[in-house]
Amino acid sequence: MNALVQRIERFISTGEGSFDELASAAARFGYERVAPYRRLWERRGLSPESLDDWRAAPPAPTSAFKSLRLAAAEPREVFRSSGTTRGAKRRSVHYHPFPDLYRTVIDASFAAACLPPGHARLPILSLIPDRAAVPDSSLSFMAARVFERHAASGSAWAVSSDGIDVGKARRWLQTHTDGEPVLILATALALVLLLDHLESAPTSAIRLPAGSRVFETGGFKGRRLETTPEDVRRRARSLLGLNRDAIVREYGMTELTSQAYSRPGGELLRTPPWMPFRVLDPETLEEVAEGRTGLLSFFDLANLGSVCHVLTEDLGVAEGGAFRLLGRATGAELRGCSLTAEELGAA
Amino acid sequence: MSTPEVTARRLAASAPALRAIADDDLLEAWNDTLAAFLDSTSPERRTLDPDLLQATGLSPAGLDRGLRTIGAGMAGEPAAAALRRAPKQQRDGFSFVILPASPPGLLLQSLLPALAARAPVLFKSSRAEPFFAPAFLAALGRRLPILRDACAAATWTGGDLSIEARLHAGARLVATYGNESTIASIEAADPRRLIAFGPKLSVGRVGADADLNRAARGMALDVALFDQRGCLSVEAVFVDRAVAGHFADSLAGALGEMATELPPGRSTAAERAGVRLAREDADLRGLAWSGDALDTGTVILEDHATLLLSPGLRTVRVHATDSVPALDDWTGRLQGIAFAGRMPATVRRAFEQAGVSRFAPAGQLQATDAAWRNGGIDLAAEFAAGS
Repeated sequence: MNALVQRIERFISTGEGSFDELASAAARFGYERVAPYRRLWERRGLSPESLDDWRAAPPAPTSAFKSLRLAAAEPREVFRSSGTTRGAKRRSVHYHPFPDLYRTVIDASFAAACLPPGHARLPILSLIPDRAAVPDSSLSFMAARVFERHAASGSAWAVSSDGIDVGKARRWLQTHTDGEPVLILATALALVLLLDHLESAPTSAIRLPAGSRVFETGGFKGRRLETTPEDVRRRARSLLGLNRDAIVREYGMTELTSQAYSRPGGELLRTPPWMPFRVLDPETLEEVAEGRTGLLSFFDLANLGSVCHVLTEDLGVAEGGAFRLLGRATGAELRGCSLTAEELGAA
Repeated sequence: MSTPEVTARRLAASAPALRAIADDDLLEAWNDTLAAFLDSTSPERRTLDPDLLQATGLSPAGLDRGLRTIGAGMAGEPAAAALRRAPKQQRDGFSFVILPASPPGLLLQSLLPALAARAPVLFKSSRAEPFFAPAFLAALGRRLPILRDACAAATWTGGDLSIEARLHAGARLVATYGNESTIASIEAADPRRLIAFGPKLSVGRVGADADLNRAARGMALDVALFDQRGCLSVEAVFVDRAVAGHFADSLAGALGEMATELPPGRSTAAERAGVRLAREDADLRGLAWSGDALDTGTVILEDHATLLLSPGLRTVRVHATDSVPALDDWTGRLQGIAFAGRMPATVRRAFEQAGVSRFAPAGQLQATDAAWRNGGIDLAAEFAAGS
């Protein structure tokens, strides 16, 4: 295995090493191994010799994962986004030559962010499809790893070929109201479907054991639902008998290997030491001061197999070392003669 | 203060009086009102413009040019012809039209057919732009008082079922602009008849025989009007491969000049970010692009002929092509084509099959007249139809 991969794995696992040094090495690695990314350097008049800081390495927009093969070596895993933008051809593809880095990231970050203290293994209900159903989903890869490392007996996947198996999920929850805390893995959309079902089902209230957690990721994947994230979390607490600090939000995407997490019950998202974030001014791509809105960019060491420095389509604002997600750049929505008040930016 | 439901009842009862208005009287009031609203020095516009500029974010020149473009073709003979040919609503009752936040003045495209059909209408203005519709209707009512009881505008937050449920149920026809979620929520209310003008975009087509500089100037206007927020705003141009590079350069120059003639208005962080990402994406893909400030226009010379959405702020992709563009994904989503030079019949047919409802020379795409049928729909006939 590449020595740089090993050094990065060590940094992720133990914190051993210098991020700045590894990041500069990773940026140079991308320049040397990923031809389309090298072209971006060249268009900027940059070269590895001139790089004195990883922040100077050009960030690749996530859209590049839709149109270019960004692979530093022969991929061993290929992850595809679920294709929320118009046309199947616009799905992001993340070629992963080093999937062990992904496993290392999950092992190093998931438990600390999502599990109740003192419960390394616990009953898990997944509303995220397993790998057999969606082999090219990075989220399913993650869920499978979480099961492998943290699932106690009785854990279950409540997803069928038709989608979320809400009946199975409800029955599972009803049998896990006593005993040790449980963990629910869900996308925001899956969570809404489950909550809708629980609300409509004539069953007794579910009160999950104290300390239970919900891992909630993603938006509604292009689906327009008459609800808000705050409403979903309120309903989840109410219908599942959860505490305010039960829900952990995850921010991840196909184009990144690492994830940001909220603190339990929190809104702000925090990245691990191997994936610092910056908020960039759209006009200049310079970092903006805390409190100012800009494009979120990440330097993810675990993305060594593609491009580490990624410019997302998400808008955010930095607050005390974490970031708040504010929305998305325009580009994926057809809007002609249909702008809403919010999109128009008017008072 | 009257509620929308009470207003709707008043409108419904006005149908006989509306039917009794002579075409000539209606035309005179319409032309006079429209002239006032297309003249930025008129008392009506001097009163309206500060609010409209604040609400829309357009520059003063952009607002004025936009209103004149959208309204000029709806006065005089085109309006007279629309009044003459329209069937008339024969029963009492009102229709309900939901207007978008942008572009301003879109009211005119549904108001004239409604008047022609003698159909009382309640217009719901967006809370982001609640000014144009009531101002225009008030001015019209001053010129022909019977119209005060036949057309009204109101504003509330969309989706308020306590207001909308009865309107959807009571209206003879609901016509709505808006995004897919707006339309889906109205469909769920099960109105008697629904016409949905969903989000659409427009594109350009330039043949090798076109005068490229002239085509670029025209296309730049079709891009820049309303800061590219309308369904007739050009977002991409398919250009004969032999001249695509030359045209892209010309278009970039024309958009630069247009930024002086029609200065860009207010933009959101999301829009600016979208343009930045499009430029970064072009760089990574090794594409040529031109552009200065993020809101003054960006031209990207694409390496494929697949239509992609523009992030806005006058961003245009130029696609070199020597065949019929692949439009399968866009059927029903294309509104208009601005063209320069010869358009082969096969290309025109492809656009028609994709549902395009307007073909116009570059520079005139957004200058619709009273005869244009948005989406191919004869709105006057729909207003008149019984249910």
